[in-house]
Amino acid sequence: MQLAIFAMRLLEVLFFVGLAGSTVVVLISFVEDGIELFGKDEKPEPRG
Amino acid sequence: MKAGHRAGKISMASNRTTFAPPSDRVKLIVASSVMLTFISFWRAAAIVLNDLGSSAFYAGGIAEQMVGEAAPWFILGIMLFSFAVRAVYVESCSMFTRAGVYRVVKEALGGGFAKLSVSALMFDYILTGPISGVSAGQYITGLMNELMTVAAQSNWLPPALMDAHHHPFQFDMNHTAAVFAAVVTTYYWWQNIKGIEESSSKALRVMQITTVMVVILLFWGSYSVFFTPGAHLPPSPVPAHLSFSSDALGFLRGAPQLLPLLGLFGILMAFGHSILAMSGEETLAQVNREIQHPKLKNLKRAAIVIAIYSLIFTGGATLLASMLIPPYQIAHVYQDNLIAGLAMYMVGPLFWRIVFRIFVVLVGFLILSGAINTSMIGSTGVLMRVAEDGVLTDWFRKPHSKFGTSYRIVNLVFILQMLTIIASRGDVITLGEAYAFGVIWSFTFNSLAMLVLRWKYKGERGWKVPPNIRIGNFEIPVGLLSVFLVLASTAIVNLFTKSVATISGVLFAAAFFIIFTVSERANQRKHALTAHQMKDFFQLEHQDTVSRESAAIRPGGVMVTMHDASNPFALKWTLSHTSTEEQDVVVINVRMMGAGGPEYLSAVDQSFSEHEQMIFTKAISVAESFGKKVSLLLIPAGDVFAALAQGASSLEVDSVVSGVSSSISAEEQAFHLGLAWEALPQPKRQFNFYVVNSTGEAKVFYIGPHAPKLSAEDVQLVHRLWVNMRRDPSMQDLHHSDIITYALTHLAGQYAREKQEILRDLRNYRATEIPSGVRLGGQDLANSSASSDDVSGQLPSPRPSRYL
Repeated sequence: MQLAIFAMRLLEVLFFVGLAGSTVVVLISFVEDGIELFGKDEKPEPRG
Repeated sequence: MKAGHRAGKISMASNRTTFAPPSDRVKLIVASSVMLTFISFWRAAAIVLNDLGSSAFYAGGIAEQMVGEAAPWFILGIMLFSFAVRAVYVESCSMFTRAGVYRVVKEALGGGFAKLSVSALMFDYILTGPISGVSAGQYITGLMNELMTVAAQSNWLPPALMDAHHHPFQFDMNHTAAVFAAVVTTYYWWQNIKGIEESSSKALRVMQITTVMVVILLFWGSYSVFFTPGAHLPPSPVPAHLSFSSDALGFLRGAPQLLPLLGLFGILMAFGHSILAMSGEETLAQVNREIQHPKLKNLKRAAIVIAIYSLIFTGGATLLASMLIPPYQIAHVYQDNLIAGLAMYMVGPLFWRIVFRIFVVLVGFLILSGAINTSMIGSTGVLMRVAEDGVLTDWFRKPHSKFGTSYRIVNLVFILQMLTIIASRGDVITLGEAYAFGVIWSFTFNSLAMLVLRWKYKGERGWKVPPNIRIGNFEIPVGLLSVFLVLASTAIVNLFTKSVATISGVLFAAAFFIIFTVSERANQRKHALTAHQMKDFFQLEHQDTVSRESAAIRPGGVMVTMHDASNPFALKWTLSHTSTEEQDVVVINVRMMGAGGPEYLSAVDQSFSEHEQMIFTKAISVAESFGKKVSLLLIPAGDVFAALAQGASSLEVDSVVSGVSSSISAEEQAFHLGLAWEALPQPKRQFNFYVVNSTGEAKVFYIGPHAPKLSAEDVQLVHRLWVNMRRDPSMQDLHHSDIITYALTHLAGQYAREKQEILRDLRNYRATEIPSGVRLGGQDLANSSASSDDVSGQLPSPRPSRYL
């Protein structure tokens, strides 16, 4: 019983710590990808 | 260099007679670059959304059943978190073009874990079909029952469809849905056996129609919320507002003393019960190889489009449904067809609500039945991938004798999907329970592998999941670690709270893991023998890209396809019509790569199947019987016609010869090859395409622009016009070609203004005047649909150097 409760609390901590970090991932990647979406393609450099 | 003769038979991987290897081995060129056609990020996003978007039709209903009225917040949370999961896939795709779970986990954690993760992924893919089919069935059955009720209320229903209590006849939701799912799955099984044409255009069209529905749904839904008395946001996602069903407690039902202590743990449980809303992410890795340049940029664009769309669609629809549909109706009437319920609770006349519901059901049918096909193609692709890797025996790779598809793998997937439909008896909730197992564990394995690869992988990496904190030489992947922690903790919680998923998923994954392991061991011995024989008999030469120079053939050669060792009639026809003193003959076999295959295959990645060995051995045997030389070429490709067009262009051949297909006509073969030729970049050259049937009759098609074949009447007409026009003193220097140029320019201008009228006139003209032919995008392929007599002479000799 004690072990089960400990495991539950441990998983809670891991989950919420991960969720906080994932929020940062979402914010940064959303901005980055949004810039990519509306950005223009670079023209290929002329050969030779 | 060429296969002039053969010293003796070689032994197949099975027990066959073996002769000593010849001293002059035949050169067999194996291309490493896979011949692919590329698509825009919009099309890539549409393909992924066909899979991901389909979950909007059932994920919300299932989550509400499991965790209660706060479910829409968890669905929204999952859709936001899917941005982060997508970031992990983008990083893996920036490292490996074929960055599916199997490849990534194999690279990071080895073959054992890769087999385990691919078993979980197979569970995900296999269940995508039944859950989509059953869900579509639920929407259709729900609509039919609703129409029966409305008809009965309006006294339109015949007495035969009313029971003794004057209630309208109602179809059993689950059983009818299961029958529907079985029928659609059978349809797609047959399409896949025949070799369905994968079309990003079709996916794009479905998503366009879906977008129309989503826009109406969001605007009308928001308007309805504003004018519906009592409409309010669902209760906040805190432990006090969670009410788990008995099923949602899973194994925790056996420990009632733990339930009052759940607290924040309940949030994890609710999150885990909503995870299937983001099923379909793996498809992003599958389509990655086909995304056009600049690949990473376009991949990220596709990823953000997918993320925003699915957030708005899945999250928005679930939220609106919970605000408009009364809780009792959600729990007992619309739990399996939530968006249909949303349509019925909009503000407005009943007629328009029913019309919109019919539209919702139509869109649901399109996207969900598309998901059945995607699941079949996806699971077949994953099994093909492991088969190519030697993890499944060659028995699975054997092509269908008529259609050339990997029918045994398709059959296996079909049987598993039908068994799942029968076992579920059309219950979406049960299917959703089980489905989540594959989804969460394949994501977890993938993120764990990516975490390990941060230290283990030293190759090129185009992008990293942010943020990363650097301390000296040590980099801490904070973002990646965070995503892994959420996925791993959710996966572990699901093990205890989703009993159906845990039992069925573990059994399924264990069964597949055992099959993979046993099969791989048997294969290792067999492939070692095959590889040894191939090296003995053929001089294997791996080349990144194949060119005429590297293949050491002269310009203007003949390329002949061969995919069936028992029917080499195209090769026989070619050799009987070609002087190999003047023209080189190249026998080409296209190795079809499954969905999500790579862009590049190194020599160690390419293991020869027994089937391929037999094809090339037979080609040499036939060439030997004609006393002529042939070159051999193996090209891995995602599309057979793209491979032929690219191969013909690279090798600068004048003719491509193919046996007639058993599934499509010669004209269709030429049409598809023409389309593939159109997609080739410049410079490219024209060639003749001969389609030979088993009796030796051939049809020839000209691929690429060419001078049309004018009839004597046409020439007469031009000449008469020239004579008449030249009478004018100002037209003394008029040429016949001027008349044709003028007529064509005039037609082109008219076509730009009156397209439909011109096409109608042309259709009428062709219907009355001209026998059927083949056209390609307005460009005449001018088939001279000839009998064998017409092409019985030599194949055209090398063209002048203007083509080179």
